[in-house]
Amino acid sequence: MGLNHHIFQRLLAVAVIGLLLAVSSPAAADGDDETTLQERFASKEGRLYAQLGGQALIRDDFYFSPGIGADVGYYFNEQWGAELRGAWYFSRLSHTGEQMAEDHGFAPDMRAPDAAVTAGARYSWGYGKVLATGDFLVHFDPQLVASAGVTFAEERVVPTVNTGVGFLAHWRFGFRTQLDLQASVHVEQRDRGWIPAFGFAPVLSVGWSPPAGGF
Amino acid sequence: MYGTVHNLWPTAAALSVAALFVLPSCTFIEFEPSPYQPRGVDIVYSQQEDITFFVWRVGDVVDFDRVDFELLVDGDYRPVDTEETIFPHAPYECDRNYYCLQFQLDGNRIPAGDAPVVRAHDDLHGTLESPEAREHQVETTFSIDPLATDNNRRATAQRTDWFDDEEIPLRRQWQWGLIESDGGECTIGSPDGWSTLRPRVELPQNWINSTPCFALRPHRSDGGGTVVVDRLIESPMLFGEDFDETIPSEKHPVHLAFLVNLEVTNEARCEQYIDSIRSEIFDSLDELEDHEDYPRTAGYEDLGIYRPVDNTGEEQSGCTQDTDHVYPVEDIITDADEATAGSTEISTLVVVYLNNLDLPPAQSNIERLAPLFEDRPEDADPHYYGWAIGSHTVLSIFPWNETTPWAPLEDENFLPAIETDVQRQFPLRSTDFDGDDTMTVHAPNASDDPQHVRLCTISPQPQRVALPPGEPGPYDTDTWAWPDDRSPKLFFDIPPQRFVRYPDFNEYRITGAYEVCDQYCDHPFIASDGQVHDSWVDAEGACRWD
Repeated sequence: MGLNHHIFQRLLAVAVIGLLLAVSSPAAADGDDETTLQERFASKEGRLYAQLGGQALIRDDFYFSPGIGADVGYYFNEQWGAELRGAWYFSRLSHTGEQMAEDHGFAPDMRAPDAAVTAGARYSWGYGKVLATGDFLVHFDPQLVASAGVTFAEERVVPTVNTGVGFLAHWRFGFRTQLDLQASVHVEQRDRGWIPAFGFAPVLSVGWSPPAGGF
Repeated sequence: MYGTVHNLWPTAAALSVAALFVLPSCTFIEFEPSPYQPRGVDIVYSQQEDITFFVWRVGDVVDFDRVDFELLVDGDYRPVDTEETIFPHAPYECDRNYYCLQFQLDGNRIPAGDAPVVRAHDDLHGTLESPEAREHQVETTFSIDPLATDNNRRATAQRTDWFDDEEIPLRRQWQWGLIESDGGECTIGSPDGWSTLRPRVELPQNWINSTPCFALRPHRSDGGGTVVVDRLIESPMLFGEDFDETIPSEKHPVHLAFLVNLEVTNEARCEQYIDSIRSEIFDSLDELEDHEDYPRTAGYEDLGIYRPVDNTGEEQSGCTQDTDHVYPVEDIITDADEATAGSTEISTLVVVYLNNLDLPPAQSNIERLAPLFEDRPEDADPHYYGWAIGSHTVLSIFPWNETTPWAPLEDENFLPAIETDVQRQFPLRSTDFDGDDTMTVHAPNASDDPQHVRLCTISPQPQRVALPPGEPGPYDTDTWAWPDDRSPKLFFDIPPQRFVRYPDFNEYRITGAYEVCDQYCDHPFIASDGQVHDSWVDAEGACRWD
């Protein structure tokens, strides 16, 4: 199972890198310092947003940790936004973990995550649109994401840092879809001391952003 | 920035972030015993109570809202609630790093076979089974040996608990009551009411008249409980007293006489020396109450300045020396006798001898000074005390009580040295007893009919003890029958101190505690260290009072 994780993460990383390069390469190919795009389909500047979504915390920790989350945020301009996120996990032992518990009464020395609260920033470093299936136009922002907070894992409170990339797709009437692919770092005080744990934390959210200045 | 992108750095940033994903997913996991697994299981069947006790532990990080427990009873696993049992109790911290849980069932329910006795089930870990349990079949799990304490105002059950002895954690409450008896064997019954047992319980007044039995039972949730009874033993009636007496001392008033025999040709300079030295001494005496370590007052009187006289009896200046000059020592002694006459205190005549010439004085004057250094009776008044301020030759002539080397007035150390000498001398002190001090041991006010007395602590140790009308005998025990006539008297051997410099005086104190027994002196009692003794009168070295 740990091997499958690694393969999945590496494939995902390659896909992300390829996509980023594909998105950014036309501007670089023009040879200009800046390239002006046609008017945006959706503006973010000065707008609040709220989202709900599903997520997972994928680590080699012998737990399955799917979850749901909610976040609210605000964009100061088209590039920079701030975000507060809460997550609830529905953790259970993996099959191997269950076998260890049943056969030997042993459990991982990491605690299963129950919830997390983080605050962070988003940077939209571009804006693009893709014509899919011939008649389906998708407007999106590629983003860089970083956040920090704590994860509540049974009796422990674990300092947490997430960082990665995000893809924000804009729809009509202020609706939006956001996919974050983040690397996670948890530093947990186990019986042996403070031990780090690295993992992968994808989040898929759906939300809505009211117009700037209200209706 | 609106509507534009930079060319290179976003790509570089994205690549950096993407690189995180190719890092191995390291979590550094190690496996450890699950905190939710029941462990340390004890099963105890008490024949006395006809109850089976189940006790088990889980890790101290367990969230009890997440876990349910099951016990193997009569071949089946039954869910159990530790709050719904004979002796209900919430999980509690025990044995360091664990929570302890307990459950009880009536009858002997020790399971047969090797199946796990306790199972834990939680959504995260699933079902976790306990390892093999320790089984115990016990005839008696508790008993009492009740004893009255605190002069029969309170009592302690002196409960013996098998679980405590075996260090098997079990939390339950106890109830007690008194059952009247005819003084014979106690029989099991029910008291008028049950009260919660505490380490010491308040007894009703006049309980002794009914020679009661002490009843104890564990507090079952259903109100029942096995009852044990035993006769409540009266405690000795003890009354304690502390003492802290300081051996009295007296301070001796100072009478200062300045005998001047200087060699300073300039008379004004000479008088400057005399005045400066006198002022320094008087000021220092006045400032003794402000002394940092030994604040005190010193009563003193200035007898004046005594200068040599010549052959004709004419007083000289004392600023130039001559072999014909004669010291008026007799005048000093006479004046001192007059000054101290009629006083009830023994005074100190301090002769301050000023002589800066590095030659011995005339032989005739040495002979005149000699009486100041002769042995005198201890109670001679005044006590003679010589203080020389002068040259090295002068300082070595006599065994002066104090010496201060001469120096020019301009020497910054000269007058401070005199001040220091005053501070380390005056007033002289003496112990105010005849060397065979005594202390009477009085019966405490609360004691009506003292039968015995015991010295609990005392310092210094007495040398002898007198039990009137008997003669003083050696101090070889700490407990005595209280004498019929008067109070016992202790004799100490405290060395007397006579005319000791104030800071060097040892203040002796007699400190300690004793207790007097009025009644039930041969009954058991609990000493101040918590130890139970079978008989107070035989328990030497043990007191109820600290």
